[in-house]
Amino acid sequence: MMRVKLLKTGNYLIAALMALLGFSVSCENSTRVEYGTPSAKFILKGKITSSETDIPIENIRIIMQSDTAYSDADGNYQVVDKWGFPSDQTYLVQFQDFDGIANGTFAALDTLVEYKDPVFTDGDGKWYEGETSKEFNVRMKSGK
Amino acid sequence: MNVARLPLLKKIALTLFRRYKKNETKLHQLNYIMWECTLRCNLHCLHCGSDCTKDASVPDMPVRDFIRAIDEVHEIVTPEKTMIVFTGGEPLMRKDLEEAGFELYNRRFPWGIVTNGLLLSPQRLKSLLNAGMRAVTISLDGLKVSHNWLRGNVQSFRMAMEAIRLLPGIPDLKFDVVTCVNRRNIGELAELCEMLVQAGVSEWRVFTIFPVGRAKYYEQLHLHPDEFKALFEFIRDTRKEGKIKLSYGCEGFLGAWEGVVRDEFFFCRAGISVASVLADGSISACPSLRSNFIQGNIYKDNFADVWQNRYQVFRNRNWTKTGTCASCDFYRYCEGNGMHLRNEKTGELLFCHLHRIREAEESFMPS
Repeated sequence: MMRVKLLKTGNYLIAALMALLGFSVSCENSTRVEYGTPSAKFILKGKITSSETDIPIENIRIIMQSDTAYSDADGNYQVVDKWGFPSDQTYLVQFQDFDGIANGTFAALDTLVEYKDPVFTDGDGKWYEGETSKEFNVRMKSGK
Repeated sequence: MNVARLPLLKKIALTLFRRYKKNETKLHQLNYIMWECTLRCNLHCLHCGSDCTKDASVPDMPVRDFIRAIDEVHEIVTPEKTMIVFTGGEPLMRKDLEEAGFELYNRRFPWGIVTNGLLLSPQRLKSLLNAGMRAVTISLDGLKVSHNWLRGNVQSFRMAMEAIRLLPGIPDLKFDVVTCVNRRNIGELAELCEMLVQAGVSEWRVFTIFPVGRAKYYEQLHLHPDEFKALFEFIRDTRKEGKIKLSYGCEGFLGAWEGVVRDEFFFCRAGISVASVLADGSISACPSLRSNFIQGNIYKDNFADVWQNRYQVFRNRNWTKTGTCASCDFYRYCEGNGMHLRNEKTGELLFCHLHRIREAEESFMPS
């Protein structure tokens, strides 16, 4: 089991590195994208603040799977994977300051977010198992 | 774009991807099973890769036999993450497809079909959806004349389009259209693209003919090098345009075109995460891999045992480094191209995508 976990973690890291280079790779069954499966909604939300000043940062771009969102004036954000598998999941989430000097200048942050034993609510009793939510606050460092 | 000139970033990414593939090979996690549920077909396509027969002399595998095999692998897979695809022949020739689908649904496996669309009436679609079908792939091989020529049936284009138009808007159903690009339809792709967009299709895959099945006897199906290269340019431009998500099928290594004409780099997952159960019970990796690639039979072997203890020919591909592959600079990234492109008996490479694109580039080089 430890070996399997190491191999899977290794591939998550490779996926993250490749994403930084602008190339995609699926850590899970890539064919699911092609054909679809039972699904669940994975919601990630939180607040983005400056690690130096604790001030909320507006207009940070957040990318998770195929969803992109932007933080509001209070630094709050929410991204959703509408077609996740209803089981443990690890997502690569990217936080990017794309608006230049407006709202400060912050270094991009790529991080892995894990949903462990997620609980799903409001499923339809068929293939859609409902949604699960996780709070993930982020402190971004200044600089490019 | 020079197919043999990899930009530095792509080289680094491909090197990382080599490690990714090695890890996946070690994990050897089965997550995609194709079931050749029938050899019967209502068409007689020129490019068919199966050993199709129009008569019913090859009996369909009983549903209970396939489900028994699935129950054997149940312990070694995560059902929710394991896609099961019914192929053929034409899967909709079976009247009991829903029975098989419902058994899978009850076991939490997602399942889908690859069909020519002729038998996909609104009633049949509803019945399949009620049995838990989650995905449909419909084949459309050009505009009317080209499609009907390839499919050998004058009604097939109309009926395929009617089937395609049923699918947009169905909640939670994934669908796409696949097109076999050949010398007859290569010039029609732009018009076909518009037609698909108007029909509500959002995902479109194209592939090229490989010399297997009936296709090897029809030279006119094979694109010339310049057409082959033009196809990739068309895919690149269409993807940039963004009206439809067009991808080249995951068939072979494309050099500098990797990451341009499909989302992910080439990775032949046959026997790494993909298995097939053929019409006679043979256990293989893909339905087009027969003969020496067969790993067992569900009527003699336990499917899980076969998956866990065999498939060495797929898990260690050093044997593919022969012939043209032996001296190829790109072997480290390609690892012998798609397994379906190797001769089933000799292992020899039948078709190299990179080589074909190079031929086109060299033919345009100033002398």
